[in-house]
Amino acid sequence: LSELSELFDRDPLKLTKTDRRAIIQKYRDDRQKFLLGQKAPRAAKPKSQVIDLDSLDI
Amino acid sequence: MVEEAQSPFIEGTNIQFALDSTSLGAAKKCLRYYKQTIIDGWRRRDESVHLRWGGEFAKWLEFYHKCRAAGIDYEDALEETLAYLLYATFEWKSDHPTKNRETLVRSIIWYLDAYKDDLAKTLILKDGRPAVELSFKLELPWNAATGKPYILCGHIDRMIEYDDAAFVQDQKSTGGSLGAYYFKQFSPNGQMSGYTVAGKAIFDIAISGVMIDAVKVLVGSTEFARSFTSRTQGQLDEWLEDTRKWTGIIKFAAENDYWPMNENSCHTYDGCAFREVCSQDPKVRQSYLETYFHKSFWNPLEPRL
Repeated sequence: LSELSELFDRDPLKLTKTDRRAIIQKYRDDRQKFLLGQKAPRAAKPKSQVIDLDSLDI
Repeated sequence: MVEEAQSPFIEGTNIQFALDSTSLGAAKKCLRYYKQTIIDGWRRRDESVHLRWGGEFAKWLEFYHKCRAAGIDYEDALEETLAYLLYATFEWKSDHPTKNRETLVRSIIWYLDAYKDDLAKTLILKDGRPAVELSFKLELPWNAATGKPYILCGHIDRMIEYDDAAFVQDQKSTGGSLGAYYFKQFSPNGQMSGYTVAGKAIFDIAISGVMIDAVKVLVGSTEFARSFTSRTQGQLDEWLEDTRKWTGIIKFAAENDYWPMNENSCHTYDGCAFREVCSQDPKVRQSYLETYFHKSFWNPLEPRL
């Protein structure tokens, strides 16, 4: 993250092709992580408990 | 030298003869809102960051599409876009959590990667130019004053060919959900009808409708969704006639310098920007405006840079 911030703060005229490719790659990696997170199976919700009131001794 | 844009108002009056979807939409929402934003130029201090971000996003996508239309391959066009974007926005300092330079760069890269193999192709106009970044001025068949016709102005991000049909493509950004409910706002919608009318009239292309390309910008991610909205000729004719009537209503208000409030619009969505102003006593509204708003005039005749 600090490397990316440094690239953003640098005079754009002094950025090299390699710097720009690094920015693109960093955001591509972020996107892959984001997409994987979206596709990750969510934990199954606990089934709601149904209580048979007639079975209760009340 | 940058030429100063012509005023959209008839000289010496508040009668606006050059209108776009922003000014027409403002009047339709509430004539008091139109007066405060379009004539007096008041804007909330935090509103400009959203306008800036949306404008930059559309502008750099347009730049990318021009590169592609010039025959530059995907990776080089993306890098070229990034190079110019970083240079042009270097002085932009925004503390907004989602509308800042870094979310702009991220959203451009993510968007272009997401639609790298897009079936939507940029239309090429009859004069050979790619149909990208098209400002238009359409003379309407009725006058604001003798010899002074109304002009419908606008800016089309891009015109595309998709599934053997032609569409206007428009970029929208939001912080909210991109579900079906979000896209319902585009029909009926004056901006989309105006684009369809202009696309047909000015560029002589049989426009099927508008493709809305929406982005949802959050702190750590950007999501995308698109949808289409189309208009029949009957709907377009109706929109044009409604526009004629609306220009008459706006002119009547300007001539009488009376701008009635439409209280039914105060609370829609997150509430009107001027809700707190209009809920004050008329005597204190001016000082309220000067404290929480700043002046920034919207001119539909101003060319986009």
